Amino acid sequence: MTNAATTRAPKRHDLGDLRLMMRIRHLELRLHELYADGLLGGTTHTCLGQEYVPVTLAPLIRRDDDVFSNHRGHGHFLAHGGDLRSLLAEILGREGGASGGVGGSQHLRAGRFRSLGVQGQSLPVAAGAALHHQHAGAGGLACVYVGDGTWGEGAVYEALNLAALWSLPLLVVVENNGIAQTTPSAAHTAGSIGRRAEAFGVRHVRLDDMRPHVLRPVVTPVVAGVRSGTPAVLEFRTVRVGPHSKGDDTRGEAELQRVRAADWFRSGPAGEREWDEVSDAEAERVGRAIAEVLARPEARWS
Amino acid sequence: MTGRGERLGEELRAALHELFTEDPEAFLLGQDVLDPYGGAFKITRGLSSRFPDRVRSTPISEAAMVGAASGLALAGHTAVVELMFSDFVTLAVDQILYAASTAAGTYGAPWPVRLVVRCPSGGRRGYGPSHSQSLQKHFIGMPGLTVYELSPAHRSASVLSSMLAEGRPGLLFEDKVSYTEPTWTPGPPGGLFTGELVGPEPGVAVLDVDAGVVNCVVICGGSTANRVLEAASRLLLTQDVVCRILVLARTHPFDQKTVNGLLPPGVPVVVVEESLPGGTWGAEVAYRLGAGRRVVLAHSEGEVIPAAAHLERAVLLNVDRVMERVRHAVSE
Amino acid sequence: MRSANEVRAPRLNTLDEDYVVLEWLVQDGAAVAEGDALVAVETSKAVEEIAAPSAGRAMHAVAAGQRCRVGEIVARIVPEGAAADDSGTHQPPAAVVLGAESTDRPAAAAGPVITEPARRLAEELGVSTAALHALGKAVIRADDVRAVAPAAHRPTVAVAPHGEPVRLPRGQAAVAATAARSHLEIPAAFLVMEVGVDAAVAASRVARRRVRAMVGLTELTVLALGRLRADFPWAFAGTDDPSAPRVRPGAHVGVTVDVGSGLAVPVVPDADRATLGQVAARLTELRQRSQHARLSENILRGANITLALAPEDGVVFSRPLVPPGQACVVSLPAVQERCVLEDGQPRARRVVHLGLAYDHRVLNGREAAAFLTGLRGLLEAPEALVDDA
Repeated sequence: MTNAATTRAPKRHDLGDLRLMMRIRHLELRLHELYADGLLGGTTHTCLGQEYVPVTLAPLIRRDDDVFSNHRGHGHFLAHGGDLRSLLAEILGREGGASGGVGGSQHLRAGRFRSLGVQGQSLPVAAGAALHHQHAGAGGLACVYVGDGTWGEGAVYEALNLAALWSLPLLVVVENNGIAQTTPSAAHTAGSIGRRAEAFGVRHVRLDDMRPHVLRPVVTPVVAGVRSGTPAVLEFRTVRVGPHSKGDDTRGEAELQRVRAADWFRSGPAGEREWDEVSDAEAERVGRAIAEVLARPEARWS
Repeated sequence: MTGRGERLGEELRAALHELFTEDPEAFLLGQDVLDPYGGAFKITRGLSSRFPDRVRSTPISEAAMVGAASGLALAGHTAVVELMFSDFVTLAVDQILYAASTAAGTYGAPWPVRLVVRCPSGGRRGYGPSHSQSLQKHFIGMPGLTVYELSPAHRSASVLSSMLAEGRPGLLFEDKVSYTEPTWTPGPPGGLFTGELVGPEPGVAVLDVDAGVVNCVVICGGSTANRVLEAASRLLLTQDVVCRILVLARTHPFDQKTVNGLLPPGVPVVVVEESLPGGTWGAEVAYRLGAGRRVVLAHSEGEVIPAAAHLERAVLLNVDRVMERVRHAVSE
Repeated sequence: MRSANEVRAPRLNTLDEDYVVLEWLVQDGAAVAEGDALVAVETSKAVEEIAAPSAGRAMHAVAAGQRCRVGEIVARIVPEGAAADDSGTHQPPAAVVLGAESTDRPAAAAGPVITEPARRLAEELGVSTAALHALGKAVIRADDVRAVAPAAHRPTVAVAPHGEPVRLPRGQAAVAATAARSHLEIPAAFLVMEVGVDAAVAASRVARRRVRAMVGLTELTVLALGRLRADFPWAFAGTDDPSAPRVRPGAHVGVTVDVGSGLAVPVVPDADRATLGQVAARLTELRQRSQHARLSENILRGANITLALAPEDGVVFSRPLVPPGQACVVSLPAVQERCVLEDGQPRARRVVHLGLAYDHRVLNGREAAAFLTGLRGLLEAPEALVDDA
């Protein structure tokens, strides 16, 4: 295990990282409002609190890599090259959606980025994509995002086993927010994710910081190792600030206060002048995009 | 030598070799598929020696096998999975569903998925309840998924290429007993029936006897084709009942158009399969053929499939049962 | 025969219940020593040889290319000096002959497949095997036997046991009315012509496979009549008013179908525009419908020429009645074998005596002969008929 705090890192947020994190944050906040206003149907899972994870990884992932996201994937989508308007159009059922209005919030695609809605479904698929990259020999990898709850699925272990046996370029990113819908980690995971990875001989790195500029120097060599055939599990210890989907947060006030205190969005501004400016600019950008997408006609079945 | 059919299992093996020779991006994943073992039914024998980097022996992990194959297919490869027994397909259904729905347009438009999951299926080998099932019917109606059956009446190379050309995943159910039975090339055994393929590749095999009339049309997948042929031969020779046999390699989606063109007016139809009753493929076919036509179903008994040979015989579809259903269909 | 030593297919592995008989290593009836390899069989895994258990003459019990089950007799070893058992040791079971190419089909070479019901009925009705073979069909069923059975076995009108009068069934009453009207009203003349049909029989065998339906002389004759429509419009004329016959469009050929319980004349419409496949399919449908008494009125209406069939064995020619309203009727009797001299050499030839009965008010002998000659030409050189199937 590596602890990010011991590694040297730049002192300040990169402006690009900050813009992206703010964009994801304001998008997710606005989605909750749109839902409350009755403009958004179905279900949606926001990544409030976890925005920095894909932002940290984004510059390390190439366009020819395969990325497999999950139900909580809006942030992943935007960080890995997805277009804001196509995401909004998809979620709002308007023309120009990333998946034509079929996929919705949980089934997004942009280039080689795809999100899947079933827990544990993605790891075997990602292992296959990794096998493709190994065969192609161009240094590509398959990156797959899962949560801590996903580790209850057997397919995760089947795929990890395969990745270790065949030295596949598979990067497993765990967003461990300590809770699966309403079930805390302590009630769904015996032992630990790290020890489970260790049992397969798969490299595991735990990351406690929530600042991309601190995290990136730590994960960069791990990602490089994956490209040369050493699969790895990156476990980000993070927080889910919002509910699982909408209005279904059963956590007590004390726990919620701890979570909010850890939220990068609240704990961030000290010493960074651009913080509010970037936040306002991205909020406005998201607002404009929503207005424009809402004005579009409904998606049509093709 | 004229009329000596190659065994279907060998013919399928040759088709796989041909596929891997022609497609340098094809992969096969399966348990115990490496030489010298070459898979539990020897269908992959020789393949790993010729294509060592593309034929991978996997752990006992059906979800990972099918999921990884689907990942390869998403990336543009041809991917073939060999399940050791089709019964284990249930362990991979989530992965099959993902591949199928991706092909069908989960991401807004169909995405080509060249994936074949080979499923050695059926009983009559005394393997007992968990190694003898015919689970085809559970895969009818999943968007993006096709169901095929290995068939003595079709060239396996044509079946494989048709499945891959669909651009969506397919399950290929392979009757285990038929591996050791001859193909129907150049003609079906018995010398009574002659056949040809009609309709889009791989085609519906139409078998007729030169009698000037047809009393009953029997529709089956490749898995039960040999039993149907024997039943039809015996019905003709002992009871004067003339059957036309339609053998389908692709059972789902059902090629309604081609089959309808092969049904003489007013003639009853029997649909044959080895699956257990209830929500069967035959029921789907009967529905597709429409009201106004007499359709009779033939399938196994609704029981767990026993291991003991005499008990197994009592449960599984056999020649006598096909004959009995045809007699029932033609009796007015 | 007790003295013969049976050689059964041994169990060679746990997987296979049967094997393919690949090749006989000794000739049928050849002398063998104990331990000599008799026959090579193929399992799902390998080729194995089966050896003679004793010395003697090896009599094959299954043919190469067939399958044999574990435990099945593949050969018999007859000790030298013992009489070979003739009762079927050479006969492969009828239903396991492999191969389906028309050229090497064993069933065709050995005559048609005769089903058990057909065999029983033929015995009962005294129909000879030769008569069944003469049908030229690959499969003979009980219905085929009925068709060639002597007429006595197919009573059209029920005969009451004590001689009371019996009212004609409705179908036969209609036949009676039509026949009487024809006889009273139409001054018919009749011509017969001998037509060689060897080429037509061979061509229909090939065509059968292509169009996937029964093709025989009937189908070819219907098609040929259609082809003659353009050159002989008067043969297709309507004669309801014989002083002013009308040429009606198309060739719509009524074909007599005797289903054992009466006579029907369903129609193949538009034979002048039909392909062989269409004619064959229509006739198959008509036969099937007539078997189940499903001939509706519209199927029986609209003919402007008729083909009267008389396929019963031994019928040399038949002189049908001209259907009222039509100009003529063609009759097609059974095929006969003839010995003819060709370049001074005797040769077997198959012929039919094609008949034409015609309304002499509408057609004269010269036209009738020309029409029949045209028909003969098409049947004796049938390539033009079968090529566009």
